[in-house]
Amino acid sequence: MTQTLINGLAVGGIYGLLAVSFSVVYGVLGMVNFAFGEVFMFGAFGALVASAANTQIAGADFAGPALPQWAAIGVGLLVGALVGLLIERIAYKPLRNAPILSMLITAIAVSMLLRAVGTFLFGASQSPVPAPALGDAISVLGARVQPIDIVIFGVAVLATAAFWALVRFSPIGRAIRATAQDKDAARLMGIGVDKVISTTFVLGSIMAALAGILYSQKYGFAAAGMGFLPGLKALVAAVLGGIGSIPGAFVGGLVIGLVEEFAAGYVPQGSAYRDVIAFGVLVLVLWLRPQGLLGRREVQKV
Amino acid sequence: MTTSTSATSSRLLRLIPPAVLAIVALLAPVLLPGDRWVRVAALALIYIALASGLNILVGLTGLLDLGFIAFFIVGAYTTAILTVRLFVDQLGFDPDSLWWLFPVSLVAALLLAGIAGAIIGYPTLRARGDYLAIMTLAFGEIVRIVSINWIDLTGGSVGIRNIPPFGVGSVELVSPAANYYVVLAMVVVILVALAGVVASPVGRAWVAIREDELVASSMGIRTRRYKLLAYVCGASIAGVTGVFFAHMQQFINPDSFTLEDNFIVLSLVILGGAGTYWGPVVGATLWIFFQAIARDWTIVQEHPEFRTGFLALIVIVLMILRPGGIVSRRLKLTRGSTPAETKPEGVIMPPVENVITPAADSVAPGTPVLVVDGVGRTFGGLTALGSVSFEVRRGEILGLMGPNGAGKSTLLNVLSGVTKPSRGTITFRGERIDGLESDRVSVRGIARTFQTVRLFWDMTVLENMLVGAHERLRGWVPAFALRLPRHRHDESAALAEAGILLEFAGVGERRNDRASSLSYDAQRRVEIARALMTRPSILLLDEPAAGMNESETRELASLITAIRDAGTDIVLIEHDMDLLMSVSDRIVVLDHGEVIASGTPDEVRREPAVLEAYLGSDA
Repeated sequence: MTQTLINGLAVGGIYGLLAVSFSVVYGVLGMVNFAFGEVFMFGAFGALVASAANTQIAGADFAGPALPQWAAIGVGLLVGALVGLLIERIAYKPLRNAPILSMLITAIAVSMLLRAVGTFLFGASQSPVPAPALGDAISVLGARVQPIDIVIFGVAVLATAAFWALVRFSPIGRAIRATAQDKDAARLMGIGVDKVISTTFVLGSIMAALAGILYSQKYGFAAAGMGFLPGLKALVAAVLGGIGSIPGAFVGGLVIGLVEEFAAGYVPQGSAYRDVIAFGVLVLVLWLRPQGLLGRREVQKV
Repeated sequence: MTTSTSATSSRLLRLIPPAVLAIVALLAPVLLPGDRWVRVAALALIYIALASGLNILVGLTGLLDLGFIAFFIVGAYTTAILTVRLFVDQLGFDPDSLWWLFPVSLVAALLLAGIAGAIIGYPTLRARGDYLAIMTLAFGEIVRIVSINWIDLTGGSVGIRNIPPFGVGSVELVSPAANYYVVLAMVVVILVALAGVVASPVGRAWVAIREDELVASSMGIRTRRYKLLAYVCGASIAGVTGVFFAHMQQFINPDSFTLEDNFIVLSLVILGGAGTYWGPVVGATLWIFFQAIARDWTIVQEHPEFRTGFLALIVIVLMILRPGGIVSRRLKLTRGSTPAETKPEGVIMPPVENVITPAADSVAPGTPVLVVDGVGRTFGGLTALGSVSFEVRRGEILGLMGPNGAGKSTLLNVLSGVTKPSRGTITFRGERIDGLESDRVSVRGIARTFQTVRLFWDMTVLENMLVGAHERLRGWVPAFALRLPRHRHDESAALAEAGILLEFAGVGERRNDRASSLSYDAQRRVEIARALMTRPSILLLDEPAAGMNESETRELASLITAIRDAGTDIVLIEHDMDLLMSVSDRIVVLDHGEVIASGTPDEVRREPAVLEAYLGSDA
């Protein structure tokens, strides 16, 4: 029970981080950037490659820098930020005034392209990720708990809190919120809206990359297609939390993680259908509350 | 004489591409080198059908579906389970004698996929577009995961084998060419049916929803139903295609449907041209053949991911440079046409009065027809309308004036059903209409125009007009797919009516032009004519003269009075005082959400409260 709880919180924390990425970019651009699942993947590989002594990239052998764990994580975040910046500049910026449908289609295409690039660079099979040296399972309230799960949950909470504080209290955060509310008004107030959007993308990508790194540490692998299912679940989490809200997205992620782990552990056949549960929740929520669990109704303008 | 011959020859010219296409499609198995390529051609046909089905959603209606393959899976497993699991395994039939089951499977797949479409489509009635995209993605995953894990029914990852091939009686159609022709027949039926539906009220309703959902509903279209219908139609096509696919392959397993197929089908629609008729055909054919050719390249053999990567790159570049795709030819939304020149000779055009109010109106002039009683509307803490009461009488133009922020537009939105009133009642010809959706208000006989012109810009003027006639043209989808003569007759009548109204509004010669190419003045006139096309008994005009010059405004004034004289009552919101004073029979003045004066133009002009509202208390 305690074990499932801690496990669910760790998985949920990862979903929550990724959900925050989706949510904050949705806030400024009004679009779902499906490609965050791939930024998640690039973050994981960035950290993996940076920490390895030798790696294979695009089929060729390279000597890796073998950086210590903390520095490798930094590299992973940087790679994520760079990928995020590139896709925003190249694919989304030309579509600033295009219909939302075009932007969504582009986002899906970017996601597919990045996955193909990931497969090309890192191969079609899973790459093993060495477990961080955190010691053996510890005993909490009589249950055996993996320390990595506690670390992941702690990191996810801290990162989300820091991100929330940044958006809430810093000048760039104010610019982000202004842009999210009204782009034109923000522009008239002298805010460089394009720069704000790029910054938001980079910040969101860092969160996504962090989620990817934690995920690869927890499950011990990285793969080109690793971002798809977590991405979809994080989207569900963002919708549950009312897309656009940072705490909402994170809590949504925790809910999905917990529901998933408890269903897998306690419902018969639950582990086979583990991945369906989150989507079942989504379908249910959108049937009952189309605006999301915590979202507000949008007012139609004439 | 010359015009008619050139018309005939241009009609013949237009028949050439489809004729060439038909010949190529028929001869393909002969022309292609070897069975491998015939199989590729058959696969291309499968993708043509899928892309055409998805095009209904993405291209025509503007709804993104990222889990479309789920409907295809439903269809394929329906026939596999019905034929192999039930009839062969459970009931002990001989698989070779089951050819008669195929049509049953088709119907079952059509229904099941259609129901799945309705389930996934239902939340769209209310959810926002992007939630919907996520939801379709999730639904696609649910279907896939269930098909892998429900081993008793689907065979899990092994799938279901020994699905009988196509056949009639004891003749089995197993050769690649035979398979090709069977699937070709399916594609032809789908495309022909689709052409019928597209050039019908259904197709126009879909495109109208994509272009401007609010206006579509103000033309009497039940937008939610038509979105749901788009899902059901698209899903049914995918389901039927799945049945053909299963019998063509003679086995299915979860590997037959990858996650990437969702993206590929979507890309083919975009590549060919979303919202066009031939786009999905072109996109699917090009891509499937390209993919088959590329399979022989070493680089693709070493890196199969290059194929989707390349397709993704094409889509990204297309979205930036040419969002219309390869075939960017506009879809024709009606089969009928009226010659642009003039009225056809020998046809007696009914006078415009009969078109505008076709049913003789028994209500005596001066009787109140629309009674607004104590209507108010609050947005959060802001009161846009306090408590407004007035009436519109038969045979009059009622002017509605007031300074900016007086609540005029809110009032118009409440009257037309766009916004629900917070309190008060609206009675139209003895029936309460407050709380009705705007499409129901429109059907009851209240039409409107918009403050900024809102035409369906991608349609021609005539197609815009036909959307206005939606209520009396609508019908059952299969009837349009079969092109029943009754509908064709109705459509010709509506086209003739549209021609008369356009002449009346002074834009008759622009009938075949695209709405976006019109001058501002002409756009306004078309918008009014389109509103008249719903045969309203009351027409609400929201600042029709905004942006017009003096002479245009004068002509507009005579059009407005002509509409009243033809039998439609008018509520006119206008900032142009000269226009308002000159055409209105009575005027109601609003300020701060309350009626501050009403009466004839002369009475209102002398009213101190009005002067105060407009000029301040010192005036």
